[in-house]
Amino acid sequence: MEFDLWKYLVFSPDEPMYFTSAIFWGFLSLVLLFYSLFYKKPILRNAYLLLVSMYFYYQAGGWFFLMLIFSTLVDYILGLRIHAAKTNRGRKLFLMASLLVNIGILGYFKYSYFFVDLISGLFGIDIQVTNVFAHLLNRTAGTDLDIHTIILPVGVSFYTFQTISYTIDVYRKHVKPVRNIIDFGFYVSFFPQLVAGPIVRAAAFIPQLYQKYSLSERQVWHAVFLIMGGLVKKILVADYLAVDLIDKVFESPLSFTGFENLLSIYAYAVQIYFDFSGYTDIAIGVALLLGFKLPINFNAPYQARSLTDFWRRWHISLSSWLRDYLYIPLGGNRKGKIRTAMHLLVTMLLGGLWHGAHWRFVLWGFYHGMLLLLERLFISRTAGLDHSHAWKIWLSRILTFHLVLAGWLIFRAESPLIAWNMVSQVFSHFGGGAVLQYIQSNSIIIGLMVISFFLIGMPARIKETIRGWFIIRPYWLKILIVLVVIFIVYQFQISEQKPFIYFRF
Amino acid sequence: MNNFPPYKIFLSFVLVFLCVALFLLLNPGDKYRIKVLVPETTKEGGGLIKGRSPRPPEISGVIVHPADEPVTRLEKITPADQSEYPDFISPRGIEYPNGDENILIPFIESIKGIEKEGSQTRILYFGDSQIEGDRITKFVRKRLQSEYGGSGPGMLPLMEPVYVSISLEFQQSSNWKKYDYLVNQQPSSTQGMGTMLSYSVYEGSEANLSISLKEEQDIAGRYFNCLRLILIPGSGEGVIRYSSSSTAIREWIVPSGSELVQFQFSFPSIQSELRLEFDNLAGAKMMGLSLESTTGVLVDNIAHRGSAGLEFSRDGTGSFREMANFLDPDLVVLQFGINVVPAKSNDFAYYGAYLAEEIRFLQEQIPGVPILIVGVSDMGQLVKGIPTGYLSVEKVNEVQRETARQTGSAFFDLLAFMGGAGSFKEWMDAEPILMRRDFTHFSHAGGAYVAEGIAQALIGAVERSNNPEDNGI
Repeated sequence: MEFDLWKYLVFSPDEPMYFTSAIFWGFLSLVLLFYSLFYKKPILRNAYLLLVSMYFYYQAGGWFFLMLIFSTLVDYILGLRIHAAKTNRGRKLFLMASLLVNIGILGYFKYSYFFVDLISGLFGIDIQVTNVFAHLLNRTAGTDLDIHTIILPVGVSFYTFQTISYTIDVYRKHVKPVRNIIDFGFYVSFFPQLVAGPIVRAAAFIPQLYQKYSLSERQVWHAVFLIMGGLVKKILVADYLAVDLIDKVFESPLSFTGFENLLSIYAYAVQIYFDFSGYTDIAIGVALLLGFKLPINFNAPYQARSLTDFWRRWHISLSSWLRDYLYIPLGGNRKGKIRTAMHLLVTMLLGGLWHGAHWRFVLWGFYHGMLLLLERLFISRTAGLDHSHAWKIWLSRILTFHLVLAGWLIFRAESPLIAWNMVSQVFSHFGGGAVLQYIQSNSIIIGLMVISFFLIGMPARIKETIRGWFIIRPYWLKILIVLVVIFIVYQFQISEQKPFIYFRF
Repeated sequence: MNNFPPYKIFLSFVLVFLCVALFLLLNPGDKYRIKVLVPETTKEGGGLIKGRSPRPPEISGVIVHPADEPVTRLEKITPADQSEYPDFISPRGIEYPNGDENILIPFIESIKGIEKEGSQTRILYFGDSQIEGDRITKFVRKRLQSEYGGSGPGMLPLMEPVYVSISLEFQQSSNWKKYDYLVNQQPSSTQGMGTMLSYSVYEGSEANLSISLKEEQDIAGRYFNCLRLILIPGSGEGVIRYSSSSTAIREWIVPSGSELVQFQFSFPSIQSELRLEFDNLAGAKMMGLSLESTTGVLVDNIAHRGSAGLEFSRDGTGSFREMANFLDPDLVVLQFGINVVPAKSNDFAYYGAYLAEEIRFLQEQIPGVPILIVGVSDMGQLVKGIPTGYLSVEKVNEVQRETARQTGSAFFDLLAFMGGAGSFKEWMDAEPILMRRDFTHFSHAGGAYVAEGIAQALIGAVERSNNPEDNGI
């Protein structure tokens, strides 16, 4: 059979490079091989990693890497300008320019359809989306590109938020601007976290650019453990549940019993958590193999005791971003109760909208905003009570989880009618008589669900113990464990590689 | 601290890659893949030996892309005419063996009788999971009823534990159980299953059942004015009470007996819901319940997950014929094949031979009723990470066409309609998605196109009989 190397070197829209594709691990191996030549000198190291990151983004998102370069250049220059500006007005002006460019890119590529539909619906006029870039190219270069479609560049929501945080931090004088364009480009485009986060703050990452390479053997195996866990979460659990249960039930809930509807709602809670945290674990692991530390993005979110607690544990880099760059600048809780409530709702609404240009994400944000408001009201009234009893802890965890679960139903269902149909099936057509039959014939799904919830509820110290146990095993045994994990993941590989959910956001 | 240089990590990666490569070298064709762990939707088939063999594994389940059209938009995506088909779809008419267009005459005459005599035309539409939940048949029914009249969903099992219909809402007491040849096998193979290839029973002295037609249905599909219940009563006299929102409770006294009996009632007005109460009929076998119109086209959705269409002749009791006598069908449609394609075989002649036996059995049971074989749909699987079509699809399709020729049945080439072998990829890539991510089952939108294609072919056959110069579609 002829081996077509070129096919693997150029971007293929049908097979973009994901962490779950074999081609990525081949790519990473080569990156590591040549990294050996550069890792001792930070300048060379950063330049090399910038280059491979751009190539990775090209492989993941095609020619949109040119836009990433544009965004990087703009924020690099504006960061320097903000710092150099003599007056507050000047600093503000450059900051506004940065916000305009970044939000403009995000708004154009992500929200054009949403706002066009909104305006069309509100005013009863027929407006069509036009891809102005394609239109310009067609006019100037004679190309024949589709001008009626705007494609969302992969990871744009993440790297624009990252660059926005950078220019705001420079404006606030929390960080100094990066002088070297290569260093800044590397900060923006570091490939493990480029397409789906975590959203890395300049203050946390830029100092690492100037530090010497430092990686112990323990850290290497820690990274390997994270990568293995991430792959298991994504392929073995999230994809399997999605293909064999969740997708089909959410598409046509009335075609399934109430039990299957209920099961798929719980399964989606597992899927979205394992999918996204799996990606993050792999990203953190890969970054660590290259000698860089990324912040954690999840901290046992389904063990949260309140919604406030949940948002401190779920997608931490986004929720802290929203807090620091939206909620607090709006006034936070410093301007009275009504304004605080408004700030919270606006933050959650926009946080919801960040997840996608669809009303269901806005509704999901509103739902969480309202719950957070109610929770504040409730907590202020029960402030003096003792909440430390074990049963109270578990009750609050279970209650919080189910509130989050209801939110996921809004988040995942394509329309309110689908969500309503799912709920009504649970109450009107539960299919109790067929539950045992379903469990018997779907033991893998049920088994995965049980194991997943066991892992979700497992205390962090036990997870640490398992990781510690793995790290100190002999080399041959660790390799054997890695091979066994690959074998198990291979057994569960499903019919089609599914992209990570958060790639779409 | 001792630094761990990148090349050492690279060497460990190489070691792992070598082990994986060695494993793949020793594992051509996924030899070490544990089948039970693969989602049911992607399982490969095993053997297919009629009678005592294990049934061919079903490529069941319904895998969809999240972006697929929700149920509520189904009406909007049904193409109104063939000009609205995507480019890769190739609309076609019915194929007749040896050019004998008279095969469908009984069906066509029955259709003409609807207008002339106000009669019924009943289609028994048998299939595998491809038609499960009324997915394709709903649109065939809707199209034909809009063309020739008629309403109601047709014959239904009284209990369906495997899937839920997109057309109906069932509410029933929890003591019902359904038996069929495949999923919930009957306790005794000597008992017949009628035309539904299944029956339902209840335990205890009483049971109830409520049915309402879903509001998303088209207008015709949402109403019925005639009720039929076909059952074998068993020992002891029982009572069935039935009512709807606009009628008082009525009773049937069911005498004891071991023969198939039919209860039929025409409502004075159209209905969209029905409640049935069963008393002292614990031993009765409920063969089917039909909600229909007294005139027009009726399409019975008879879906059997995992079936290759080889179960008809298991009925040694004559129940199929007896029930068919009550129903008086005018056309039988057989849409099978997706459970045959994955079987590891280079020669599917054996399948053709078995299928021909089944068709001959049907022809004996319901003489004069034409049979239409809908060929297998295109499908694929993942081979080394690449969606790949089954080579056997074309072979199975040809075997089905040849079986149609041998048995004097009509044939609809669904594979060619889809765009030929390998077209499943285009169906998957279409917007909205037309084929599900299991590479096998149609999405609702895809099912609507398929149904439209089949319905148009039948309508074309009727029109062609009126005007022989017409090419049918």
